[in-house]
Amino acid sequence: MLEIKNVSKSFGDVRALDNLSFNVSEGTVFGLVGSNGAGKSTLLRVINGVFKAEQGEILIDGENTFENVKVKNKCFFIPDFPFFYNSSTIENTAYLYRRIYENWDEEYFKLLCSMFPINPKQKVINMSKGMQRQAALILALSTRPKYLFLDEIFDGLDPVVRQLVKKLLITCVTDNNMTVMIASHNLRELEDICDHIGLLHRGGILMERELDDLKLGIHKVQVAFGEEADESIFDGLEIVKLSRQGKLYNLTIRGDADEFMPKIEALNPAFLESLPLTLEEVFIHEMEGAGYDISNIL
Amino acid sequence: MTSATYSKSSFKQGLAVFWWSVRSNLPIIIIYLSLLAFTSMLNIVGTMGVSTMLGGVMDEEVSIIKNLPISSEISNAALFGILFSIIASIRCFGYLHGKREIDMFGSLPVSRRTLFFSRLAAAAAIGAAPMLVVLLALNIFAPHTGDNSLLNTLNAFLGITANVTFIGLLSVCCGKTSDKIISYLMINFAFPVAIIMIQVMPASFLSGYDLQFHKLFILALTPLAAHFSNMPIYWTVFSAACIALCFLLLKRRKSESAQSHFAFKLPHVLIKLLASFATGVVAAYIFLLIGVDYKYKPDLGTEYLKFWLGMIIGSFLVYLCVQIILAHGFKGFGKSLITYGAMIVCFGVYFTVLATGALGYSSYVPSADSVKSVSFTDDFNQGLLVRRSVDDRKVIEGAVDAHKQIIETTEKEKSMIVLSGKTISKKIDNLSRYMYIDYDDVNNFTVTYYLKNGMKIRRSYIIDKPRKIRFLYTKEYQENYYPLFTFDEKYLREAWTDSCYGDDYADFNRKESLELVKAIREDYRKYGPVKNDDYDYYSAQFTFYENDNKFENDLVFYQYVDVPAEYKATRKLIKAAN
Repeated sequence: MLEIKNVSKSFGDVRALDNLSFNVSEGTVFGLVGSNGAGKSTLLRVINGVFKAEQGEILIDGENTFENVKVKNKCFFIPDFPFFYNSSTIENTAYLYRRIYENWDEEYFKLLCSMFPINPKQKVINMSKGMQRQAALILALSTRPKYLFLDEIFDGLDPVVRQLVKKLLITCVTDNNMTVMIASHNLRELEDICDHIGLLHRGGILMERELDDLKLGIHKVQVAFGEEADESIFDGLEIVKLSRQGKLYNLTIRGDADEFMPKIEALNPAFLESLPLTLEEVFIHEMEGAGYDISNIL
Repeated sequence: MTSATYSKSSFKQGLAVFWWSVRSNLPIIIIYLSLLAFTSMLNIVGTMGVSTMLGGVMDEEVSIIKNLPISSEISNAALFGILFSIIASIRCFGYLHGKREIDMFGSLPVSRRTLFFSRLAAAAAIGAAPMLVVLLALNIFAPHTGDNSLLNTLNAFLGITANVTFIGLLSVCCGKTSDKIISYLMINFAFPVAIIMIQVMPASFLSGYDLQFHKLFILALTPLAAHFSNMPIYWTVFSAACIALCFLLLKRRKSESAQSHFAFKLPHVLIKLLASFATGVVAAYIFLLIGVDYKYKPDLGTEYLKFWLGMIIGSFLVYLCVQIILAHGFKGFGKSLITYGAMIVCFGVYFTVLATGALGYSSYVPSADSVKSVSFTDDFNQGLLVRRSVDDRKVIEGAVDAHKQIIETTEKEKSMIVLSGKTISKKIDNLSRYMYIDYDDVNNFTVTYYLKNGMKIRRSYIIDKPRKIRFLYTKEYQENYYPLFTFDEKYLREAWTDSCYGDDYADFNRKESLELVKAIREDYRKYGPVKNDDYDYYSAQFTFYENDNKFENDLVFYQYVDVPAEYKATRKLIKAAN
């Protein structure tokens, strides 16, 4: 289990992580979302011991991660821009990893090399952005990590490879109980693969819960009345957002649909429909709720 | 499945990183080896060609190969070694300075120290291994011919180690590769200049100041010159100190300083101060020379003004430039001026102490009673063989009186220009080791007192009218300090004589040379120093071993003595030899 306890990290005057706390259970795929500068990449770096937290602790399987070789052996971190030397190939980078990572799986490495459309003897630096990510992923999965941390992994991948990556990750999670944390702005991809979502904002966690709960906890409702009605008729409902076009109201309501739908039905609407929210819509509503001035952006 | 325990030792991890780092630098190693092999081949072919031209002995190929100057080959190899170890170090420690690199290396299951020291070992190996391979091959091919090749090779290796560890330390302190390179170059060049200027400055203020350059201080932070300094113990300690500092600082270094700023401020402050101080003092001396010509009339006030103007302008401009280069702008400049101000204040204190006579440095002469023994050297007896101290009371009293006389003749010399000029000319004169039996030109004096309280006082002068110093013409002085009377005969190697026309040459073996010395002493006691103003004179030239290691090729001390017609006993011996 990954435990993040009261972690803070600053860069000069900027507080990137502010007393952050949450847990990630084993065998889950955790999506880390948030606005730009929310602290997602910093959090991944702190978890992987690249940066040292100024305050708090990060425990993996009960042990502190910073400068802990034993714990780091179970983890692999692919940053948003994976690093390769000018002369690096997948093969010669594997030379280092197979000697350092105890669980390096040579068979799996060969298998992965054959699965991705990539030449392991080609210089990585000459590859496209997406192919460099594939190279990093081949090396990462070959170390058979128990915890895999990915920053913007889908960026630059073509749809076919994206599906392949998702499939591979899910196989590793189900077969090996691997825990994956993915920081991304690509909410559509996260929606497909994640079972947990954590929303970071200004270095703090805005909310962290199962994706299903998240989606079930907030709803988009369209309701129309025969006659014009005052907005006050919705008092008693936890309205996140309300917009009106004539007699049609668009509501975003937080809560259990089984509880609020009967209340709306009791108002005798001419039309009533509850629609599922995409993760992107959930994200926008939550951020708006946290004071993120979306109107200035959208 | 992931194993619950981790069994790879730090050594194994380090070894993996080491080999991987060496492999990553393979192109550099190939270039380095090629250059080394190519220049070595040139050296061998060149030496064979020269040997053939000089000796015309193609049938003696083995001896030709033996003539290969192995020490120059080591220097050639060391130069490449240092250059490529610098390149390898910059590459190997680059992971501390790139945001992307730090992501990769920081998340590896290897401790920071293991990672750093493995990379350090890789950089040192890349620098040293090809050099040692080529030198080993040359030692087999062209065996040792009398040069101290083992020590030279050790110096070359330590030079590489010193550079790698120093760059390692700078890498830990700096946030960017560019800052690291600038810091390395600036410290290597500014530090010796700063130390030389600190050592030179008293010579511009204090009459009698004995300017000595201490290699250890000058090169203390100049690993670039480590190989050539022949200080193996110092560079071993230096490298060990750098490693110890890296070990301590690594844990405290924040990874986020990569690509942004200095992780530790010390090099930043040190570079700014060293560069501005060194340039400031050099500029001060340049300003001092403005308006100086052959009609120059010393005016101390004007000299001080020019000196300070140069110091302030030079040091401030460089301080500003270094700030802009290292901080990429003026951020923090105002606050850092406090450091600059502190440096100027310290310099001001040093200047004031020197300008006010350094607590009586120039006028102080110990009382004869407090002196245990004295050594008095002049143009004639400055050689190593005659640096003796004499405890005879008459000699001590004579030396003290002579010293007072010298101070009287020099006390009006309060000009920085005059004093600096004399020191420079004194240093140049000291390079000459010729000895002439002619006192008209003598003007270099160094007196060293060994006091009864254990202290040692040493003063050095150049005076214009040495004839006034009567002590030099006393029997006590000449018999105690004159080289012909004082040198240890066991160091005498050989002598030869010749006429002033160069047509009456004769060699003397060791025994005959001793006879020759005896004859010169006899003549000298009888006739004293005779000025050679006729054309009928001979010269006797002697060579001595400088120490007990009487190697054939060791540097020797050389003396030249004029033998005028009056020196009859000597002339008789010379004629007999011819």
